Amino acid sequence: MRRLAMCGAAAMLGFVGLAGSAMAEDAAGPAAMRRLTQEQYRQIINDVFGPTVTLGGRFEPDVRDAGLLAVGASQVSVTAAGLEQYDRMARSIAAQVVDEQHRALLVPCKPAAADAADDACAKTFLSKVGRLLFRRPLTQKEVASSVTAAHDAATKTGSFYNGVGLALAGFLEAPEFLFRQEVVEADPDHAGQYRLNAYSKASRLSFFLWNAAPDPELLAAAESGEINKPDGLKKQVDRLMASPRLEIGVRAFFSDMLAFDGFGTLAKDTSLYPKFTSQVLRDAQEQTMRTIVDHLLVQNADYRDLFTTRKTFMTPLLASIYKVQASFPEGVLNPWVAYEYPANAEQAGILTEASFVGLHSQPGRSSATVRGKALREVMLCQKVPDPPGNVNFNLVQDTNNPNFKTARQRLEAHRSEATCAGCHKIMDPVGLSMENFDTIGGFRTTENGAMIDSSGELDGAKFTNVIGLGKAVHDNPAATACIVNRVYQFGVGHKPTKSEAAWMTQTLAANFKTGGYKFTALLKDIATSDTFYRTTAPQTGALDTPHSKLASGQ
Amino acid sequence: MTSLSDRTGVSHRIGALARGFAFGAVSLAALGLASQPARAETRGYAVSWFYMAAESQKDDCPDGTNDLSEVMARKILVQMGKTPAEIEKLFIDFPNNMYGTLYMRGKVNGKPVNIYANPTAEPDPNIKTVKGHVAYGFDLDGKDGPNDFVDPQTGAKGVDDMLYRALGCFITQRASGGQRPTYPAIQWDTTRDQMPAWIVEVSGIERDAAGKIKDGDVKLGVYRATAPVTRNAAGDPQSDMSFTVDTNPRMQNVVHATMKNGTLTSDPFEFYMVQDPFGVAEYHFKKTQIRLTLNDDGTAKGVLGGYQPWLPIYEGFALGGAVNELNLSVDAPGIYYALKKLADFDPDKDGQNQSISSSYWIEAVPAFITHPNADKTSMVVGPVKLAQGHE
Repeated sequence: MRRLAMCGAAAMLGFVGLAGSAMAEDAAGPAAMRRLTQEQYRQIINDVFGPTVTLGGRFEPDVRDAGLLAVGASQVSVTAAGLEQYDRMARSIAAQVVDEQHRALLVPCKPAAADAADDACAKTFLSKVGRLLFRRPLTQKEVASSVTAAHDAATKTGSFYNGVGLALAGFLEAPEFLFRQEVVEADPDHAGQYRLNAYSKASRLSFFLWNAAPDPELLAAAESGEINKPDGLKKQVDRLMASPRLEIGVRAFFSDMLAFDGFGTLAKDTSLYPKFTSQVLRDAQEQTMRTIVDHLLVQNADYRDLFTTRKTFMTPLLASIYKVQASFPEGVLNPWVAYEYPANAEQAGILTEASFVGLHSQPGRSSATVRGKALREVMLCQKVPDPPGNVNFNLVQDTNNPNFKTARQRLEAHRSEATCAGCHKIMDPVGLSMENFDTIGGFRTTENGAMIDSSGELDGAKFTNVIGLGKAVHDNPAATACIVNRVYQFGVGHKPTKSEAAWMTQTLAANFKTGGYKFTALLKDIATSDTFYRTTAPQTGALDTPHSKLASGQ
Repeated sequence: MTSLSDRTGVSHRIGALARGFAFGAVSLAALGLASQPARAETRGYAVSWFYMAAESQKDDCPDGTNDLSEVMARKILVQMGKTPAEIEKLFIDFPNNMYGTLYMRGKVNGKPVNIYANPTAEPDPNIKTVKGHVAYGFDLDGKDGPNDFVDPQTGAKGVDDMLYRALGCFITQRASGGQRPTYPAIQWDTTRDQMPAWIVEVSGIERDAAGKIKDGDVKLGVYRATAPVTRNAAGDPQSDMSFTVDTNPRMQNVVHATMKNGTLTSDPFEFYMVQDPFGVAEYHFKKTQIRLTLNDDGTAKGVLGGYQPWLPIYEGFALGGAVNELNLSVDAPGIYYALKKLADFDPDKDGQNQSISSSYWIEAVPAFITHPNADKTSMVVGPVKLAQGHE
């Protein structure tokens, strides 16, 4: 990963972690245990029980690590308060599944008597549902345990459905459901090496491409061992990538990479920016998602062009914020239309969309520094250190100072402080080129009556406005290295090991470049690779877990 | 729809940069555009407010304003023959029975009738009307008569605005110092969300080298859009929205206007516009004139004056019946009689004038306007200034 190693006066960029090409063909990383994200939880419940089963309650907050929630998910546990929430949701979901509205559809058998236990029917239901929720067949012990729980509860409550509902709730708050537990096995084809077992492999693949648990067909491929054969894996990857559900996975990845979770707490001063509403907040995210999906999936275009494309999508409110004219269909609530900026417009690419310039701003003003930092960290995978604790921000924050009308003037004054100059040299020339966009993404040419100078510089590339910035990012090798890095990390859930980093550089990045930076090709390259499923040696005793013995039916 | 660059010959964002022209010629020079021939500019707006104009004066109503609702209601009830005890009971039980009692206060052939549907079913209460001589608007008839006003903004004499004379002694119709009169503002604010927007287009604008709008001929269009105005987080109309012109020929008001010092004044014309029955269901002004100032911040504000049928104005009050009367402190039949007496245009065969001179404020925010199936668009120019200096 490329990092900003220091922010001294020289403000030089340092590189850590890319060195070394040894072991690239044997690249492997640790297996992970990741807590389901909120979206994954919702998606699984939707897939298994259908959209009429609703979720209430709050989720544990996700944690970002190495730029991704997907990596942070392997660092988190469940707090006591969080467990209460999971318990509440589990009971609510289970109650809906077995209620009179749903039971005929979702419980595949009918008990001999609705007011008594029926172990055979309970076993049928719980085995089927448990397999989908745990992303693997239940062990014999797990089946027996859940049937016993359902039996006891049915007897006490006088209701078969209450009994299986209680057992189902137990599944939904079990670690095996809430956490994606990857299981390692010795690789029979490569002595001394390890890989994910078939079910963990299926899970990694499914969550990678669909952000969801494996569907029955993928589980069947795991059960038969088909997924461990190159042709079998390719068949499944092709199937998953041909599905419309690929869009869900791509949206999940970019939502994570672009830190859209930040919209959950994004606030703007609406007395200064009354155009900012909750609908704008939703539209801003959706605009970028539509742009990405159209560009990368529908058009199968060059990833780098996301930073320069003039094609996007508009709603009436977004068009109002950007001050552009668009035609919308009549009688449609919050319509979306495809939109293309004129060739000489000073707005193009996702960096000029409200989802970026609005998300990375202060509530009452834009922030060239925050935007510059975000661009380096989010789009280029560079690390910019946090400011020291004793920084005086008064000058930067005072937008009414008549001596410093523009952000550029204020930051120039701020940079006169030696302790600030180093890092600001890295961030500000990038961020100042986005100053034509106010804190909600509205286009402007002046600030406090003074014309805005949006010239800037990125890693030696100089430009006169944000269009130039987009081109500079487009041409910056860090941008493509970054997306390769992020996509891979999103899939494996950990920071790349040295060997994985080398493999990414030598294989993934090289293939990405050769193939014309096609995002779908990158996904496929990763998903069909051996490295994606290869792991380092498990910790002592890990292979003795019950789950590792599933293949033998123990 | 045609792109802006196709229409103007300059880029959209160069067009946007031109928003700064009003603030200095430096921008022109910096862009290298100073030597280019001037191009006509078109500006679009969405009407954010439209309400009866008023610049109420202390001497407008020398005998005081019309009664507030409780006093008015008590007088009406006394005239109806209610005993003091019955009146007190109606107030104690308010609103039970009060509205119904006031509704049926008319008498036709000795039988009670709905007074709002039959305003002449009671004698003229002779509401107080404005005696002053200050009101916004235009000299519509070319005469300066004793009932005419002086416009406080332009100083023009002979201003015809008998609507203000009729209604201006109700407190909910009075305003001054740039305030909006209470009830007309409520009417507009209530109906605006549920009716297609009114949109304004000014084309043929030319600017001098300093970015100042030149004096000369322009074209003014007032249309209805196909979608309503959207409110922003402050509850005000959102600026810079895109609107499409409703092609219904009844709402195509296009007229020559003369620009002077950044304010245009239209030639007289007939103006049609559909609104909402809560206010006036349909406006039809004759001998209409519009005065509109195009502000540097992208907004516009001005006055529309003309003769409009007076009966629909009454109907706007009558539809709300006793609720309107008591909430707004207005006497509906009194308004009927006043409008009828003060109507000053368009006499019928019996000599009764059918229209009344009136003036309305127009406030507008910048908007993009698209004419369907036409190579014509409007664009926003002029920076939209938000509070505290944030553009």
